[in-house]
Amino acid sequence: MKLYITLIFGVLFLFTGIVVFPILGFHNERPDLLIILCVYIIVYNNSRQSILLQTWLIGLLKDSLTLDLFGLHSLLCILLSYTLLKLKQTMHLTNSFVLLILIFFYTFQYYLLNSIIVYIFCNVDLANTAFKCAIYTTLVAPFTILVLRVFTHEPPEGYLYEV
Amino acid sequence: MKYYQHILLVCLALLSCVFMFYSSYFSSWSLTSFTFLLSNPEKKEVKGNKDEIISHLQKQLASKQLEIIHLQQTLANIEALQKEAFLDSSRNLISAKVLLKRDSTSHRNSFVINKGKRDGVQLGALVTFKKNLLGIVSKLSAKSSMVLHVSDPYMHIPVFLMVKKQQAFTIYDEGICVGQSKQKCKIKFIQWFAEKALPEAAVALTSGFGNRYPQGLIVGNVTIKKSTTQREKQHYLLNVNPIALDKIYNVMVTVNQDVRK
Repeated sequence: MKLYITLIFGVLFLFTGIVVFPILGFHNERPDLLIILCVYIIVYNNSRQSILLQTWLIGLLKDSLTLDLFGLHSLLCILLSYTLLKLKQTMHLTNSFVLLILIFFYTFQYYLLNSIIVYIFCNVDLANTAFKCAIYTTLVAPFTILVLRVFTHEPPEGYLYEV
Repeated sequence: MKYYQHILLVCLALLSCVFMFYSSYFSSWSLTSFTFLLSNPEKKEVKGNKDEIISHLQKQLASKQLEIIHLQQTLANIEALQKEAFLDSSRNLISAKVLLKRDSTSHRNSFVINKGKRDGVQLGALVTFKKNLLGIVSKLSAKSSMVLHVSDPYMHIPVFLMVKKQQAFTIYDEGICVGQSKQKCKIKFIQWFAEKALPEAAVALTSGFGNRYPQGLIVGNVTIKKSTTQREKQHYLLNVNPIALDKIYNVMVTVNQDVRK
């Protein structure tokens, strides 16, 4: 996936997450489409340098419209993508079911780390939110991946990549 | 992974750390760039035949009339607030439009307004809607600012509880209203006397403690529920529901008069 396509989808997903999903309403929860994009890039990109760069840029996009410290999300994104890259060396990740499980755990870890930071500074427990967000993101993931596959012309499931 | 990939990883992580260190500078820069995307482009003059120009001018007239009505409402709100005198004379109110109503992450609660440094807004400025407190300005750029909503986990507001019971109002001692994300808050550390009958209605108002928030602004309606746990046999949960952001399009921001001049 090329860098400019990632950026276009990044901005699109950022605004979809902020504007569209709150209108649909699911107990005030909303999925994180940027995390789906991150996992998609990690799984379907061959070049590790571009994976690291693109996930870092997605993190920066997230940073731009949040009140958290600028740079925190890019750091979290790159650290989690490093762990997934390590996993990719030992496992075949392009299976749809595996992809959904990855998205669930990636989102859960991501928001759990965030909720730990919030707990340290404010003594407010948000672990429950992390779990709900992970479930909602996983539910939305198949449709988002379908859109990404159509627009990026990725090969069908089962295609073996160089590890 | 090869050595240069590790170097890239470390460089990007270090760059993120630098961003975090100079967070205030970079965040205002990013907010400026996104405001450029969100703001409406300025209308250009229409060139064409007579009918096209007339219809365009009629549309403009209609939109200006709507704007006048909106400004009149805003003025009435400001006058009402100044009569209540929760603001001192050095503070002034300006109207702002809400550009985005959510944060990019789901555990934080913030919104973006179209007034910034250029309009005299400063960090920590109060954002209100009628007599409700919505939040404080937490990130600033030239033309826009990001507001920390009352339900954000980083928000701690000193409040007192006003309870209506048998047509009479009772004011309880001070407590702290802590944001719980998802547009909800909780009141902690309040001296609450367990009584048999639950009140008909309760409202959380800012107490003015610490002089950060003026006294008497509404934080939200309070729902009181009985709850039992093994440790404490019976206790009360005081949940605060702030005003819903989805129905709000214009808010008021406090600015210092000197800065505006």
